[in-house]
This record gives sequence, C-alpha cells and structure tokens, in this order.
Amino acid sequence: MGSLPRVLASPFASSAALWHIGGMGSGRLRKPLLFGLGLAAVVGSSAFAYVQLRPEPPVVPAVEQKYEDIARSDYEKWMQDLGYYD
Amino acid sequence: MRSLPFTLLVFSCLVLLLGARFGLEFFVGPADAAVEAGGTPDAVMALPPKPEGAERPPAEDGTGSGSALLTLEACQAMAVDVRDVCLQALARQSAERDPEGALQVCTRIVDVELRLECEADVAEAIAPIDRAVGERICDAIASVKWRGQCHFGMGLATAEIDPAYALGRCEHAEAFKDFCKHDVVGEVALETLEPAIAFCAKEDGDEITRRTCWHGIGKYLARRDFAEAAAACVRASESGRGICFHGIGWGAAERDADATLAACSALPEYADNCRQGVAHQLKRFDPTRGIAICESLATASIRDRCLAFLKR
Repeated sequence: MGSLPRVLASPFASSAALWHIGGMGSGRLRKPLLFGLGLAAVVGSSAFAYVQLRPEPPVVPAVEQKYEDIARSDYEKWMQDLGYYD
Repeated sequence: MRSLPFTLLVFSCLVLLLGARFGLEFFVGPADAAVEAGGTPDAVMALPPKPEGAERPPAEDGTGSGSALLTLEACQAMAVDVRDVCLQALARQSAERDPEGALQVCTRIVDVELRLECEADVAEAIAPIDRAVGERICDAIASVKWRGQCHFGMGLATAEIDPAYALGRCEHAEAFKDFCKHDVVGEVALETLEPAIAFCAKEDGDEITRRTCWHGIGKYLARRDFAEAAAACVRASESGRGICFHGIGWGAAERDADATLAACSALPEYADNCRQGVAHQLKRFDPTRGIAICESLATASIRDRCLAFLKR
C-alpha cells in the first residue's frame, strides 16, 4: 500500500508539479485545480477518518471442529479433494 | 500571504494521498488479516492428514537413513525461520529413546502449530514401543485438531503391529476419523489383507465411512501391485466394490497414469470406476487430461460424477 513516510513526503513533490502545471499559461487553471483538490481532500479526509475510527474487526479464534460438527456433504468434498473418496 | 494557495495545495494533496492510502486498505484489505491459523472451518478442513507414519530416526551408530544427528545446540544456532523445524526434527529423532526429553524439546518451538505437531509426532514415534505413553501425550494436547492428528498418527504407527488397536485409535481422531480408517486399513492391508477385509466388511458407520474403508484397501494395495489390489477389491461388498476400484485407479496412477489406464481398461468389471480414479488423481497435475478421461467413461452416472469433480 506504500509506506507512510513516502506518502507523507509525496504531497510536496506532487504539489510543486501541480503548481507548475496550474501556473502554465495564464494561470486560470489554479482556481479550478484548487477547488478539485479541495473536494478530493474532503473526500480523502473523510475516508481517512472513517478507517481510523471504525471498530477493529473481532479476531476469530481458531475454530477446532469435531467430527460431528462437520456437515457430511463438506466432509465428502474434503475427502474427494484429497483422494479418499469418489 | 503569497504562499497560501501553495500551502493549501500541499495540504490538499497530503490529505488526498492519505485518504487514498487508507481507503485502498479498507476496500482491498490488508494482506495479513486478523484470522489466526485454522481460524475458519474451511482452514481446518483444508489441512491434509498426514498419510505416512513418522519417519524413524537414524540409528545411534549413524547407519540407516544416513541423515546427520541433530543436537539442541545446533538447532539453537540456526536462523529463526528454520530453528523451529530443526527442533521438531530433533524431538522426533529422540522420541523413541526419551519421549519426555523430546516433549521438552517441543516446548522450545515458538510456532504454536509446529509445537503441537511436534507433540503429535513424539506420540506417533513412541506408540509402537509404549502405547500408554503415546495415548497420554495425545490426550494432553488441548487442540482438538492436533489431538485428532495425534491419535491418527498412533494408528498409522501401530497398523503393522496390532491392526485392531490401530483401527481403534481412529475413533479418537476427531475430524480425521474417516481419513484415519482409510489410511490405517490400507496400511493393515499391505501387511495382511484378512483383518482389513474383515474390518471393512463390518460396514460400520454411514455411507461415506463404509465406502471410504474399501477405498483405502484399493488405493494402498494398488500402490504396490495392481493385480493384487484388483483381487482384493473383488472381495469387497457390493456397495464397496466400485469405490474400491476407484481407489485402485488413484493409487496406481500416482506411479504411472498411462499404464494404469491400460490396466483399468482390461478389467472385466468396474473399468469405469478405475478410470475415474485415474481422472480424479490427475485433477491436481493435469486437469485437462482428467476431464478427457471423464468424458470417455461409458457409464453415465460415473461420467457425470467424474466431470462434476474435475470441473469443481
């Protein structure tokens, strides 16, 4: 997913590039560029906040099944896959 | 402030990238999900039973398998990722002479699954010498899965010595009960056929249990000799004969699929069952050929079942 230090450093490089692009020509691109990025920033920050604030998924403990707990149809497939049944 | 727009631009990019990073993590999911090993029924069911008994450790004088004797110091000096495996091998090496010492070695293993497997291996190794100790070790394993594997291993280890006892171990094999009966009865058949036939002829359990028993006889004998296996399967019950020949096809195909197909075709009866066994065995390595074999089967019900498995 990309290391956090890299993610933190890249905005400066990308901003400088965008600033240059936006400044090319008459500079009319700067306002729409800032507006679009601002909108994306709102969306991005919302997603960030959601991921950070959502509860941790419960850790599933190791399920250890007894013979009688396994459905016979599943058991049959298991045996077929491993060459114990037709 | 002249730099304010640029500052806003930097801030927007930062938030955007952070949001994208964590958003991707949310939707795609991290590689290391918080599910422990064996955390779902499918993961438990996916664990293949160990078909072979524990390897016998090399003789004290170094003869036998020729592998070097391990020491605790040697294992401790190894890299972390192989240390556990080394300790497991060390425990197995000394289990017959000193099971308690071997169990002590197992406690040094960091990985939980490997540690439990180590304990099961010690019980399997000591079983031919002292069953009571083996049973005690197995019963002390808290994990249902590894306790079952432990008794399964004891069954395999004692199959040649005491078939009745070995088959009795399978009742304690938890989820691996029918796998255990299949393999133990197969091992027994290799040593002496009559007890194996007698056990399967009792027709205990449901359809899967009864039929799997005959499959074990066919598969194990076919690994040694096709004709011998065919002679044994002819003695199976009517409901068990077909699957016994399926076992022959699977077992013999492990060595030579072409020769097995030819031998199956020469059978007066149950040729399709035998070829179905070959096709099933080929699913893992050559599924295209397996499907072709299924499509060539004459019996519609066997052909359908064969194709359903190959295409699953």
